[in-house]
Amino acid sequence: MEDRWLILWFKRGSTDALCRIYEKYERAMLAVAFGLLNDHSAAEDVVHDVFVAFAQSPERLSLAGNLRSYLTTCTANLARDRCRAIRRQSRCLDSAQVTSQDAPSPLGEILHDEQLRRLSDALSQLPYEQREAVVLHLKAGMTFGAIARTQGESINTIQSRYRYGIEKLRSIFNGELEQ
Amino acid sequence: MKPAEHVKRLLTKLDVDPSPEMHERTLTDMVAAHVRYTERRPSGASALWALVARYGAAGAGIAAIVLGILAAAMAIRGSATPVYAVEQTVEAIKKVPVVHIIGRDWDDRRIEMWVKVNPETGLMDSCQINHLDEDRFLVSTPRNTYDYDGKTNTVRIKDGPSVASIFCLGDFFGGIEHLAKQLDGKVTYCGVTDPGTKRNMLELKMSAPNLEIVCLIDSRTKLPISIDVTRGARFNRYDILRNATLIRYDDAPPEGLFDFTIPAGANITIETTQDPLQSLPASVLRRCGQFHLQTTEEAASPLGIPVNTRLFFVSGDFALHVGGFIGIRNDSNEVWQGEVGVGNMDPPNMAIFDAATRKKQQIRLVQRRQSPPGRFRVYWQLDEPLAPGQTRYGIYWQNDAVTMDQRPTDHAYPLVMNNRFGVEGIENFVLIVPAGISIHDASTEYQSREEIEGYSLYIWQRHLPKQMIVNEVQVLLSPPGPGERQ
Repeated sequence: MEDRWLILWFKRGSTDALCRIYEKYERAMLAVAFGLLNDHSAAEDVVHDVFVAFAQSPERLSLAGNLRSYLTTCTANLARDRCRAIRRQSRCLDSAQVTSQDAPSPLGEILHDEQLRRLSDALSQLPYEQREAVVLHLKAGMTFGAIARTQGESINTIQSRYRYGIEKLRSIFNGELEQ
Repeated sequence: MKPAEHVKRLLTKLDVDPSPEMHERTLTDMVAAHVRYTERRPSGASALWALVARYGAAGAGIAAIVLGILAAAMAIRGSATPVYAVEQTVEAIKKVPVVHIIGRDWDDRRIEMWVKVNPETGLMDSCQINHLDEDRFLVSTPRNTYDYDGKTNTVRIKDGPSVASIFCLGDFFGGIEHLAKQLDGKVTYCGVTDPGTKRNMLELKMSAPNLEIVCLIDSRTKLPISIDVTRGARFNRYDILRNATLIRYDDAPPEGLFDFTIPAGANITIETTQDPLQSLPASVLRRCGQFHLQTTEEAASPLGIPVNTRLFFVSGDFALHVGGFIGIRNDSNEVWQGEVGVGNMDPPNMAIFDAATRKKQQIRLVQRRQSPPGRFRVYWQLDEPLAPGQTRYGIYWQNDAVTMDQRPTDHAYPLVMNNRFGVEGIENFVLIVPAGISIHDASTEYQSREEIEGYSLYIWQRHLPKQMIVNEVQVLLSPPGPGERQ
C-alpha cells in the first residue's frame, strides 16, 4: 500500500496500518540501527523503541512527509542517544578497540556473508559522526541536506564527514584487498 | 573494483534479520502502545473533518470537500431517488462567492474560516483561517500560503498547496463510500426538520467504529449548514476544525481578507520547493524541449498522435532522477484558464516546473476511482491564460531520487527506462548523464547522442502501438575511468 494511505489510516487510528508500516520498514530500520551501533541487540532495542514511540504519536506525522525518512531520522536520533549513553559509560564504540576479525561477534549470526561482517567491523572503526553520515546516506538513502537538517549541521560538514568516512573505509578495505 | 565502490555496494546490501523474539516483542508492545494512545484520546480515532479543514486551509477547498461528500452520498444512494441532485448542489456552491465558517478545534478553541470559491471550478480560490483565541492566522492564495504566528512574530511562506493536501481532496472525499468500507462503516442520510426553524434538511452521516461525521444540508438552498465530527481523532493543530457549527454563504468578507501583508519586523521563513535539478544547465533542458517539439511537429502531428518524452537524469554520484516533458496546446477557440488535465501518473510525489522559467507550477492530483490505488490524474493549474493556438511546456520530476546499484561483476550501473503510455503515440526516452559516464551496453541502440555543456544526452524514440505495451530500454552505465572527472 502506498505510504500516504498508510499514514492516513494510521492517523485515523488504524492498528492494521500501523502493523503494515512496521512490517514494511522493520528490516530497513534495523539495518540502519545496526550500521550505526554495530550491535544487534542494541539495534533491535532501538527499532523497538522507535516503533513503540511512533505508535503513540500519529499526530506528529505529516501526510506530506516521507515515512521512510521520518522513521530513519527517529532511528538515527535514538541510535545517537544510545551511543552517547555508551560514551558516558566510557564504552563508546568510537573509542573501542578495533574488533579483531577472529573475535567472536554477534555479526556472524546475523549477517549473510563474510564481507558484510567485515564491513560492519570496518564501520565500527569510524568516528560515530562519520559512520552516521555514511550509513544514512548510503544505506538509508538520505540526502546530505536531510542528514544535515536532522543533525543541525551544515551540508558541508556532513559531506566532509561522509568523505572522510568513505576514505577511511576504503583504506581499511584496501588493506584487506591487498592482503 | 574500486574499494570505495566496493564499500558502497556492501553498504547498500547490508541486511539484518530481525530475531523472531524481537519482531514479536516490538509488534506486541507497539500495538499495545497504540491502543493505549487511542483510548486516551477523548473521542475515538479518526477525523475526516479535521482533514477537511486542514486541507482546505492548505489550498484545496471546502467547496470541493462538501461536493465530494455530497457526491458520495448520491453515489451511495444508488437507484433510490435523492432528495436533490448533486448537480444542483454543485451549481449552488459555484454561485457562492465566499463561504464563512465558524467552528472549534479539538481544544474547543474558536476558529473562523473564510473561503473564496472559484466560480469556474467550485474549488477554493483563497482562504483565511483565524484562530480567534490566539494571535495566529493563515492566508492561502492560489500561489502561496502565509502562516502567521503572532506570538513569535513569524511568517512561514509556502509556495502553494502541498502534494498531500491535494492528495487528500478531489476524489478522496468523493470516495467517502470507499472510506466507509475501509473503516467498516456506512454512509446514510435522511430528511430531518429543525424543530425551531421548521427548516427541512438532509442529514448525511458517515459512521464507522472509530469515526462519525454528521453533515446537515439545507433542502431549500442545497448548501451545507454544518459539519461535525462526532467521533474522531484529536489533532493538535490550530488550523484544524473539529466541527463547523455555522456555515454562512451571504456574509460579506472584510476588505483585503485574502491579501496578506507581512507585519513589520516579522521573521520570515520561506519554504519553497526548488527544482531538484537546478544544477542542470538550462541548455540541456532546452534541448530536450526542442526535441519534444521537433518530434511533435515532424512525426506525431502528421499522424494525429501524441508525444511522450521521459527524462532520466543520472547524476555524477549515480542518483537517478526520473521526469518528463509535458506539453499543453490550446486547440480550441477559447482562452483556457484554470486547470488543464495533463495525464495520469502512478506516484503523486511529483512537481511540475515551467520549462521556460523553471518556476514551480501548481498542480492538483486526483486519485482515479477506476484505476488501481495510487494512480492519479494530474491537473496543471495555469497561472496565466493560454490563448488559442498557444502551447506551454513543463517538466515534471518525481520528488525522490533513487541511488542506483552497482553490479559487482563489471562495476556497471544497470538502468531500466520504461513506461506504459497506454495509447498510440511516439515516446522519447532521454538519458542525461554527466560527461565521463558512458553507456557500456544497451538493449536497444540509441538514436542520437549529443554533448551539451558537460552533459551527454542519449535519445531513444519509439512509435507505440494502440494496445498498451511496456516500452523498455535497458542500459548499463559505466562510471568514469581513472583520471576522468565526474
